[in-house]
Amino acid sequence: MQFSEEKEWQDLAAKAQSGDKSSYNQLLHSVLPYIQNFLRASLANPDWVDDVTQEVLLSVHRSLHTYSADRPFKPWLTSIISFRRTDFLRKHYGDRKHKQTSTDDAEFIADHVTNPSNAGELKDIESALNDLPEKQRAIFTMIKLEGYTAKEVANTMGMSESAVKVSAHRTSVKLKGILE
Amino acid sequence: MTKKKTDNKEQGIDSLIDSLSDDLKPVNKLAHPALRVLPWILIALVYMAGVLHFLGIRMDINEKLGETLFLYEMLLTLCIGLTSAYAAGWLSVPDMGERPWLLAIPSALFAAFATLIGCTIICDGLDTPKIDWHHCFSDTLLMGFIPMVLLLILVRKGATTKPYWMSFMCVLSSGSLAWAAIRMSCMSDRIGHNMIFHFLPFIVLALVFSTLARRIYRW
Repeated sequence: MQFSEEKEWQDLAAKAQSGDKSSYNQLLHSVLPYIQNFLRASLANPDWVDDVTQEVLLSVHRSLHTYSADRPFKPWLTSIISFRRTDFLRKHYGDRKHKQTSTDDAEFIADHVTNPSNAGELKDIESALNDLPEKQRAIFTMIKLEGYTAKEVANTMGMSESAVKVSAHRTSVKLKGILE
Repeated sequence: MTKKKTDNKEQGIDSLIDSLSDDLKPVNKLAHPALRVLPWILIALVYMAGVLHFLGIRMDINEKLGETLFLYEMLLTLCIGLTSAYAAGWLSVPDMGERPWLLAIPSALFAAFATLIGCTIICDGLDTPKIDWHHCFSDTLLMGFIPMVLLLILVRKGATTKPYWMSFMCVLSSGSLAWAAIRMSCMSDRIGHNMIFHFLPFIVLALVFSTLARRIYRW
């Protein structure tokens, strides 16, 4: 079964290389479950599967000229899937996207905002925080939102403990002023 | 392609497949890596012979060609150059034609070369020269840089899934051929001199190319 599938992909890919659109369409539809199963098994978040699948399909399209019909198709495809998955994860974690949540997300509001009708206030707080100078915002976020102690923040920022406390306090006062 | 990708984000996967199928044109298949790399090897050797002619062959070349160690070094660097170029050719295919072991050959030869350098340092001492702008530095770059860029252009026609290995193989192939060529021109056999003025330029290039690998070989 595996062998016949592999042979079929090989033949379809060879035809696709010569410009046969229907074979190419058939090939992409035929490899789609393999790509999705591979990604589902190796990605932590199932929501990412479709994004990476699209990347893989585009990559197959771009690199079709590198496939040699006398070699099996599956290893060629698998290396592209692995490459695009790694690329996606590197970009995802590199951009710290796993640490970001938008307050526009209804699910997030339902899970994390006590009173969903006040979700707009959360956005106001976010926007007020964004208006603060970078250092002040970092200190406030670390102490008030992420739960670090003043000593830990002081060590990280290279400041004295009391200066950190003063900064956090002043930021609270400033935020209250902005939000009132 | 980026615009297409963005547009396609909103489409379903099925419509993406349909749109890719509609866009399909007959492709120019990539030739066998050996056939693609062979012209590069010939061009690089002719170019290096030309530069060597321009720089002048060392006076004591006949005497040096009688030394086993010198011949071993020449043969080793030539083998590194050829095998790494061949590996770079295969690296431009996503699955390397299921030949990942090909990377081990130039790497092992390079390890042998590094051992040779290490043994020479232990026996003769490093004898670091005064670091200033020496003509050997520019001669080495002249010898290796253009073949390296040519190889880079050649392998970019493929689609590598190992950009860092690709950078390493490109620098290694042109670097080792350039090392062999420059050793036939420069009279100095002091290891310190060779390390600083013949080897260091390629370390620098390797660092630059490795840092930029993902950009250079993006597809």
